[in-house]
Amino acid sequence: MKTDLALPRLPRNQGGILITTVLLIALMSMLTAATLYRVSSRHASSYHSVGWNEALASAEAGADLALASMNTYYSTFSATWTGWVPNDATTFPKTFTPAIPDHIGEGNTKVYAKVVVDKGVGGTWLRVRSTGVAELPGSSVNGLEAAILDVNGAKNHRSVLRKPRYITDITGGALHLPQVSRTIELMASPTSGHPYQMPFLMRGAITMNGGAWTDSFNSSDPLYSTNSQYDWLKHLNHGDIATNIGGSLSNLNGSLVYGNASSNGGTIANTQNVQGTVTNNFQTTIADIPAPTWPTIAASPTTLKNSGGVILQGGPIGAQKYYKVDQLTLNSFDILTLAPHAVGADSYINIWVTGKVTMSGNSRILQMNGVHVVFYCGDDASFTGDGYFNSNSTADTAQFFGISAGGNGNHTMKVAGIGDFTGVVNAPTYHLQITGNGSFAGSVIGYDAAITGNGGFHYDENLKLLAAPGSTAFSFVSWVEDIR
Amino acid sequence: MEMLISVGISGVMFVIIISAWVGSAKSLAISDDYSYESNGELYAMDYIVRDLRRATTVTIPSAGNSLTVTMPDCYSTYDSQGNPTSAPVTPTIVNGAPKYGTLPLTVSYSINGNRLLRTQTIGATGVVSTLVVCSKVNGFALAFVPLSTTVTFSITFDPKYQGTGMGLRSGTKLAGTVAVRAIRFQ
Repeated sequence: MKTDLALPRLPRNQGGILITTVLLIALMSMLTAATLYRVSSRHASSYHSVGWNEALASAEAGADLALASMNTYYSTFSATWTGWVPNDATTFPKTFTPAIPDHIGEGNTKVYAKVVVDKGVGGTWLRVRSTGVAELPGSSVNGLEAAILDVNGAKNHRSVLRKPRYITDITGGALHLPQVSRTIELMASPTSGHPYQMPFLMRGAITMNGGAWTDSFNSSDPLYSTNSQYDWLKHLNHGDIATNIGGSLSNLNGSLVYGNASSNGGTIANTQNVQGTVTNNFQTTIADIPAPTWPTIAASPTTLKNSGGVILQGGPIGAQKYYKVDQLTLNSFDILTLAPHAVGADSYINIWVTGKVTMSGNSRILQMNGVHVVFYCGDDASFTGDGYFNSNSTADTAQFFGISAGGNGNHTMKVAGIGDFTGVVNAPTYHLQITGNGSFAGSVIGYDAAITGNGGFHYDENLKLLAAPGSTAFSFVSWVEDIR
Repeated sequence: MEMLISVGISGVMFVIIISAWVGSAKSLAISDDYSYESNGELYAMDYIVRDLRRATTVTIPSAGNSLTVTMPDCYSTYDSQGNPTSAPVTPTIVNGAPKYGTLPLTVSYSINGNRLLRTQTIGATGVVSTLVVCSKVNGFALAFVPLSTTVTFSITFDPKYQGTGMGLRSGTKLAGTVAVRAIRFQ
């Protein structure tokens, strides 16, 4: 028996449907591919937009972190900036590179920020530069912009908005390529405002007598000072005085004012020698001075009384010295010397006298060169005798504060002596009595002031940048984006 | 007879395929156009928002269809196309506020036909440069509303191939609110 093992042959007219189906599938696939090809790059571009905006959010987060660090470490004179490089108190610029958390959502899987804080602007200001980086999805350059056209059709490569990076990784391997980055620059200044805007600012009345006069200079500008000191030939006309109550309580008695005289209503008497404008629409907020909160107070001395000669030594900015005494009494030829911790070094001393400050006879306080003093008074204070001698040329090196306790006018502060005085006085609840024939360079804030003597009061315009301690939290005051 | 049937069926199938091809091509064109214009919208938004954030003044005419901002001149040098070529300068402190450069940059956005133009004038040099942010966008429209330190905006376009009276523009609206950071800090 013969068995035919061959497969049955299909008729020649069968299989047409299969071919037609394959052709249809191929055709539809081509259409789909064409659609995807056309749309996918734009779809990727929309993800690039997401990544680009996430890079900004990351940069903003970095700036916020810098602000938090400033308020945590810088404002409190902390010796260590945890997480920053370098982490000591004084070396700037500092860099922070945070750990990179994965995140979910559209656009990418990681973001990164590099934050730099420096003091390049000067004064008490800090500058923050924060660069945020975000990965772009995928590994190809699909959808990345190559150029933008100008109105004449010429390609402009630098103006490409999102500036994707697909060759150079600026994160050093933390993120993959392609990536986008955005850098913002912010300036931070102390939020206490800048209370030292004129030579005299009072909550209450101002009385000037005996030929006292005011003008201004700028210790940071050689055009308006000589060796950072006042020079009449370079003086400026911002020797303003202002009272935050009605002007009828104040009397300039014809004193010469190279600036404006302002009051909060009313009319200041005898303003005929005011060289600027006399106005009565002035109003401001004069903040109280709180008692200081210091990290570590020196064990001794706890009192300073008739001690002959005493030396208090400062420390570097990261290890400032804090002294708290119950009184400061100097008479005869007593000398209190405020000395640096090392010759020629910038040194910082903080003194808090909870009781009275009394100086008489030929006693004096000598602040040596390079020493920065912050002096808090908790009771009446009389810086008289021979006076207070600041060997530095700028007023921000000697800051005197009257702690606001007991209400306006509860205490009195006297400043007098045989020489010139360089410093700032901020005692908004104190009666101020300023006498003597020496000159005064700086700025004064008080409850009211009686100014006698024929000395000149020279407002140092460099003090506009100086913040009052006790409220040195920073805030950002400018914001720009580096669009290169 | 069989030949006639097969030709008839083939003809029907051919018509179906051609119709599918034409329909798909038209759908592709519509999708492509919508994608293109949406992408342009997104690009325009990112450009405008970037400039609004760093603006120090914002001028919006009553019609609300254009925008002019000034911003700090943070750079010392620019190329011929108005792109910065230097690192940002260090600002000076003037009256307690940082000041970059001497004169500000002025940037304006306007619609020209189916193009969105960004015109930049460098105050210090007077050099003007204009970029085409988006082109070939049908019926591109901008709407700005100033609100003190924020600006709300919307961007729309007219999708092509829409039937008469379909009113598809509203479905293309891209809207947002920008905090003008620089003004807030002034």
